[in-house]
Amino acid sequence: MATLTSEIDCSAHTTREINQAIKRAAADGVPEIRLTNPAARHCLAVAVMTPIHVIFDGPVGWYCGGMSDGGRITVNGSCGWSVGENLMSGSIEVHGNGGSSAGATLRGGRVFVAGTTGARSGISMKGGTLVVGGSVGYMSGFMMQRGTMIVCGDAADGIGDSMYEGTVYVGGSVHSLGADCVEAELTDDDRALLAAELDPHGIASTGVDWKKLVAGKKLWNFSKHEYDAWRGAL
Amino acid sequence: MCGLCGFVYKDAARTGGVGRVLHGMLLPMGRRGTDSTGIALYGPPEDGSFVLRARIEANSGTPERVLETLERAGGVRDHAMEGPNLRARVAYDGDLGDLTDAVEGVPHVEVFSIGRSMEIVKEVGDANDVERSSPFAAFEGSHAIGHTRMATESVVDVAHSHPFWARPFPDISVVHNGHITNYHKLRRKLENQGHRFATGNDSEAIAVYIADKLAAGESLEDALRASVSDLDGTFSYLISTADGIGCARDRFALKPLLYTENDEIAMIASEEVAIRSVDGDATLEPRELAAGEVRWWLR
Repeated sequence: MATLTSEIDCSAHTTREINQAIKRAAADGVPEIRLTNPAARHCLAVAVMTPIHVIFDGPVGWYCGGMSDGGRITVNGSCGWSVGENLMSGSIEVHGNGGSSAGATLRGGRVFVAGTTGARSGISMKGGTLVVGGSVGYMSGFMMQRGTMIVCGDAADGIGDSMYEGTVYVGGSVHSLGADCVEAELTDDDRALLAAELDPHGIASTGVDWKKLVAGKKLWNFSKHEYDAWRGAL
Repeated sequence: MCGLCGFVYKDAARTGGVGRVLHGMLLPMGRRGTDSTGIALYGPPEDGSFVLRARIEANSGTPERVLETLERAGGVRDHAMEGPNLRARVAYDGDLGDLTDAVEGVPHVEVFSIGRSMEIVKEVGDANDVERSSPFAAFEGSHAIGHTRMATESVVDVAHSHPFWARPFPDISVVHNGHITNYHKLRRKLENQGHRFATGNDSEAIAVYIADKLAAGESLEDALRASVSDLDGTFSYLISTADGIGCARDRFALKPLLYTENDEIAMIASEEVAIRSVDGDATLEPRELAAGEVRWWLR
């Protein structure tokens, strides 16, 4: 495979060959690499540590872009579980639906999924921003520790369960809050942040009944006087 | 970990190469397990007869004894042996439990399925191993479900391979990914109702549980919805009847399951890679089932 390849037909290569080609292209300063026929294959463009724009023309599978640092990934299709898991910095844009655990353990950067994502989206986020154009599934934002999650659609049961820190914004309905997740007042700074995040995608942030969800912090320290809160969480 | 696949033509009059589709879907699902692989195929219903699929771990003379048993039961219209696998069309109008017992009364015989539409083939190994043992890729029919297994609960052999027939109910089969934690309680309850089990696999109990409800007159939708409450543990499963396919995902969404559909077909799979592995409508957009969600496609 030529070092400066800027277009790869995935159907002709193993996943390892594809990922090595992406890394070689990034190291050689190729600004953009386009991958056709990804066919929902797993583990594409993982651990890309040098800036490059990786474009997938078609759906990708699980763990796309995981552990990457500083690149830009565009998926013209859907993605599977755990897109952008442990992303350090950079961005991933998915122009389709996502799976469960989107943006799991996100540490930095930005993951955008235009459609819906599944259960446990943004689980254990430690930074960065997860934006979901549609709805998120059960227990999304579970044990979130830092960062921002923006859900333009609905949040299924248990949103923000046991979150330590961070902020979740929900534009649609909240089916139920998770343990120790509470609603906070939306400020002008919040509205500005939502506009800055959503405008580039052509998603209106005004005229939406945004709910801002944060940690109630009752689970930070055990208190026998708040035993019921602990019993509910456990 | 196991892989699930399903495909259905929505139009009741439509049939096509469902065997080829399932073969294509099952190969990439081999990454979720290749301990064994199996498919329940649904063709046009037989008129006045049943199709029996069985494994005969052959002693010499055993296939003949099975065929004699079928002749006594009603008559063999035709049959074929491929290696240890028997396919026979049987004229029969009695209870399928009795017929199954009679056939399995011959030592070293395991009945995979008896149905008017349904035929189950399975084998230790991947989809190509099934194809070598019991060619199914050329099967023309209305719908099919398939499974690739990574065993966690019971032994790795063909008897414990999915799909499971909900014996003795004709044409009902299940494939399952997960672990039913109230299996023993559920099985005991069904056994107290008179049902019998062929294996110690928890997935078989799902098939019998749903079949029991359908036999009692419940709709597939109601049976699916009830299962989400009645089954404990982790599960994504597909259940197929002569009329179509249903599926359900547990309340914690712990096992993957997604679907996609257009006006003509629906596809269900553990992972999208199974859907993209067959030539088809590239514009199909998959969507995960939500926690506790059920869906069904009846022809």
